[in-house]
Amino acid sequence: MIEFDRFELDNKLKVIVHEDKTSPLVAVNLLYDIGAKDENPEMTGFAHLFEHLMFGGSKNIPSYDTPLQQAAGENNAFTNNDYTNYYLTIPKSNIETGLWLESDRMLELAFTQKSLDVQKQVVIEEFKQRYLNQPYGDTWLHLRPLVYKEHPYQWPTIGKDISHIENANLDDVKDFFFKHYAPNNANLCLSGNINLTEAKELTNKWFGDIPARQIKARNLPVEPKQTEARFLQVEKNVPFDLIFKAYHMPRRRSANFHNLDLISDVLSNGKSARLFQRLVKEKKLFSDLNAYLTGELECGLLIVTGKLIKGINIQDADAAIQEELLIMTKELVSDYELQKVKNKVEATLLYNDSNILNKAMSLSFYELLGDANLINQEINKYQKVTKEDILKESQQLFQASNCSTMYYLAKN
Amino acid sequence: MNRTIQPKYSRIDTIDIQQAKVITLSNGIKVYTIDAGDNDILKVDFVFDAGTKYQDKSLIASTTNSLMQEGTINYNSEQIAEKFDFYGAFWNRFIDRDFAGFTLYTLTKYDKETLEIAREIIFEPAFIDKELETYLIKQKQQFEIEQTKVNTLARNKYTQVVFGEEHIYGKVAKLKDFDLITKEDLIQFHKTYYETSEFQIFISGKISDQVLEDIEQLFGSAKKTKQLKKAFEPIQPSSEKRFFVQKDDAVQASIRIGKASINKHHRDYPGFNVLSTILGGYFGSRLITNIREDKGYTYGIYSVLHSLKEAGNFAIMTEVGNEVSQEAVKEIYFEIDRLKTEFVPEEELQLVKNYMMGDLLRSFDGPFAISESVRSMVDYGLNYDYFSNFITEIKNIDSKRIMELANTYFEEDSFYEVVVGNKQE
Repeated sequence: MIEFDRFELDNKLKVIVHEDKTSPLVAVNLLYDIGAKDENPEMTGFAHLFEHLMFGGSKNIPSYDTPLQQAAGENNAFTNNDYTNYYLTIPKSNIETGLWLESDRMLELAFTQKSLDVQKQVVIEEFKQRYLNQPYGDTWLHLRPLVYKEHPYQWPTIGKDISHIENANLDDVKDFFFKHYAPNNANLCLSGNINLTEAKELTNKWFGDIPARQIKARNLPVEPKQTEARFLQVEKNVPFDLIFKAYHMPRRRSANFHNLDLISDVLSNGKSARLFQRLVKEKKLFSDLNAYLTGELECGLLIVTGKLIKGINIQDADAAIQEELLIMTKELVSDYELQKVKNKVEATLLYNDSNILNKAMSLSFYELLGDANLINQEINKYQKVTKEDILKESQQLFQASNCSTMYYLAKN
Repeated sequence: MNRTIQPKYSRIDTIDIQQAKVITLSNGIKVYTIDAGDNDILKVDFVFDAGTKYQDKSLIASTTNSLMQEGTINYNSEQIAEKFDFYGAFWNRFIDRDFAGFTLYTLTKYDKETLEIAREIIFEPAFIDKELETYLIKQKQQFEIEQTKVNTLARNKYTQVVFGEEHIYGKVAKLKDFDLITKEDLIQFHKTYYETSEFQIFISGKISDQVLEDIEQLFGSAKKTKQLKKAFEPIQPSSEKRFFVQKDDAVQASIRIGKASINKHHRDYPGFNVLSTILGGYFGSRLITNIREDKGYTYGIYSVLHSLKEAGNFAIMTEVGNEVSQEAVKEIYFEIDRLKTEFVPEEELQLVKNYMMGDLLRSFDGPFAISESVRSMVDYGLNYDYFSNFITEIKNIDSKRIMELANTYFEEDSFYEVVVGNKQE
């Protein structure tokens, strides 16, 4: 059980407080409900570029990092297709520095041309380092448009193309800020050596005077149901073939999510799991093979992906995967196997629980889903999943018409 | 409320260093325990003097370390995986040049079941041919993939150049080395470095008396002998200092600039750490400020003073846009030289001190972190004075001393430089 309190400021900023006196630190997690999915298709990569710009100075504070480091704070941030998350940890005695910094940049960024020019370069280097200069790095640049035809999930967080980043101008940036960054479009979680009284006082002090803003209404195109199998083949300068199979699944908040999560666990969580034992160890088709959920909020995917052993025919490997998925649709998993994956999930949740920053991120995430207390319902939801649920869900999921396959082939 | 002024903050003056309780098992094995945390979970580290420096042939140490969990006298690989997964336990292995071992994460309530498997893996591995075969195929493939990355090529070249191609720290495996591994090699390595030699156990989390009893029962009876100290050759750095490795399709160049250096035993180690942090050890560092934030050449650049048991390694690492690699190199040397000729301003030095104290605070926050810190001390045969000295040094060091250290350790022309990229004509 993670105990916490929740309150809202007048400007609609949601605040969650979890006290953990065993740590000398406080974790501050600020989640903005803005992600790559909210971008203009002609201006992608913006939410992520913006995350970088958030460190370029705010209205009253020319440098974010310097004062934070002075106060022995550490921070980072990430952006994904659904949201942007900023987090820091700081000694208890210096908590106000953390709140001062986060509130000022929620109030207003210092929009400068220099900052924009530099961060564009940095993001372009990031694009190269992570997506272009790595073997298999551009996988998702190909896979996303294959799987999503209408929904903005069709482009990755880094952006569809480097040119979108290159073309970003200061007016676009200002516009983006005022339309998406606001107390009424965010939640703040304080976790660690802080109590409710302190939290109320300090958040009101620092965030109370930030005005709520008119947030651009979210009106995203709905991804139409996929009605037939899709296929894409690319050839790249990599040593081994890679296969991707993507299956559409319902939204994160759906009642079936936990069934689906356990399906991916039966297939692939741990070295005793089916895909590893049967297709990697026994049949030696792959050097590694995984199944996982992308976890996207609106319409995610279950992915099966693996690197083939040299010499294995990719169609054979593909067929072998499909055979395993077919078994999931035809045979109930055993009680033992179901218990095993449930134990694993429960243990993982418990291990994550031991860290104030993890707790802060999770609480913010569940608050975004609609209710921070979902964090305490997770174990129960997993425990309730039955063998029959898994069978039924597999039958829905693993249909050929629901599948997009990509062969990422080694040249020659 | 004036938003332009930073709220009052305090410097971290002291760090509460929770010391481990040391228990000696009947066979002399030492167990370092950190009993803390609210959750009924345990982390157990088994640490052996079994790093790659001890191997006579490339890849033997890591292959042994990997194969041990792929089958024991009583359980095959699948059964081991099943048991760990069923109990919600996680089993990781680790290896570096000096040390090797395993980490078990388990729910306290299943400690006996999971530690039993741990014991089997450590003392009674079966080294099955079929498992070795599967492992080698996978490793070779992974190796080939790694060889396509600029930073792998840069790291390998750098290591060879700085320590020497035949040196324990400079040796880099080649693809053909995989085919030279035999089961006998593994059995022999295991016998010498795992089965009979002394090792350390670190336990952190919610530790009940039952856990300690189980540890004694499972690990306290086998006779252990102290390993004979092996003598190692001195380093043999290359006579050439600058290297360029061509990689045709690289869109980024990987840069490594550095040299062999001091380690944790040296009195300058804490001070040099401060110097390294100023240069490239945190987000506001000289290197980041110049090469990322001002020039936009890179997504990340940093410097590190890395301690090994027989030496140290000081290195600056980055991946930069291919077209700007020469400029980036120039700027790196520029920043190094500045530290030799200009005093670090008081405000900047204080910021770095605060940052480093914060870092130390975090390394003692929570049972798992504390245990790792304790291990870092025990690995080198040091005691808690190491931390108090480190803290004292951070607090007291001044700009004059920083400049002294820079001039001592950043001598003109003493650096080795490796760039892997695409030289466009």
